[in-house]
Amino acid sequence: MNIFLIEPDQLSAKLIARHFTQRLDGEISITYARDAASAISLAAKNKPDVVVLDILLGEKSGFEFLHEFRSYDDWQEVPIIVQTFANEPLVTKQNLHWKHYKNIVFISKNNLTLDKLTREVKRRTGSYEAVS
Amino acid sequence: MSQTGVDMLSGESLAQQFRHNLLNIKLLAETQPASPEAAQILVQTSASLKFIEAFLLAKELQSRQVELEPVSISATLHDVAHTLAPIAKLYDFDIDIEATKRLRPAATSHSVLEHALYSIGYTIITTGQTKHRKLILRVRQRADDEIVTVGAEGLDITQRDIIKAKSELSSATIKLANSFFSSASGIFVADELFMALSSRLHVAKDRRMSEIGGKFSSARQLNFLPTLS
Repeated sequence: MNIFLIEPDQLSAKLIARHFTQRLDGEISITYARDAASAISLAAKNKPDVVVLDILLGEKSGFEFLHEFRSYDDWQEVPIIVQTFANEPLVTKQNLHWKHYKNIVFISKNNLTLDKLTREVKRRTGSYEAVS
Repeated sequence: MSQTGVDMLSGESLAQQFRHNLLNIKLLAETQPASPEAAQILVQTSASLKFIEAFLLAKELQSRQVELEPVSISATLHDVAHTLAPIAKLYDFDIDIEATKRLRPAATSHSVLEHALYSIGYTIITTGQTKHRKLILRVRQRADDEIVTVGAEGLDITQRDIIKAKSELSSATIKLANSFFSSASGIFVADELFMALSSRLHVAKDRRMSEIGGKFSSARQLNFLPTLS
């Protein structure tokens, strides 16, 4: 399974990636981007099965990435897990395209746990969690 | 006089920076072998992240209007009790909910009110101001209003304390090092959130118990508010 992790905090990214590798069964490949600038070209190269995205990124926001990513036909159905400190009602209200996106789920970083995120990846991709 | 870098640092930007660090500590604790210490760190970081969320919401609502909606206060109290439960257990606190029956929905915001009540509860639990380790979340009807409070026995706080502390803070002439409020920023966060809900934070003494909260009108009043288009 190819997981595309877009996360501005490098330590968080390391902890998340390590947990995915330990807890998800099968061959796990994780592509990491710290910001959205190079994310589309990285996605094109690695063909993600699931995207784990923080929308509070640097100059180019996660929204811009999301909009561009979803504009390509072959990425319409790829599950996207948005995990962010941004406020969900505001995010969904202010982003006009939000309601048109399919297969997208929102997790607040205020309540984030590694197990919760791993379960969501598993649920969205139909993969199985390894027994630890 | 020119502004220094420190002057320009807002509590908001510091909070945003620290929550990333707190989250990393929390995630790291989750990866550690099970131990009481790791479990405590998980609870403390989760509770602190929730408190920072309330603080940032209070800041945000200084420039954004809250949309009032019909809210079941007793359901909100149950949510607050659920969120506070881990930190209450860590500090050996019980949580009781007292709600009179057949309450009408109130005109407020579930999310904002939940953050406000959480901030008060978090503060009472973590500041060690009371030896009676029971937090009481209460709602009762008075005429057309619902009074919602968070309280505890032996909590030495009055309305005058709040007014005095707010005045001292705004004039910034006196350090609050020795007062209840030096470690009780949650009361100020709640005060701000209650204001955003068009309510007012109030302290009431009921026998030996101090209660901090506010009142909300019946949701029927929403029909009389002008609709924003």
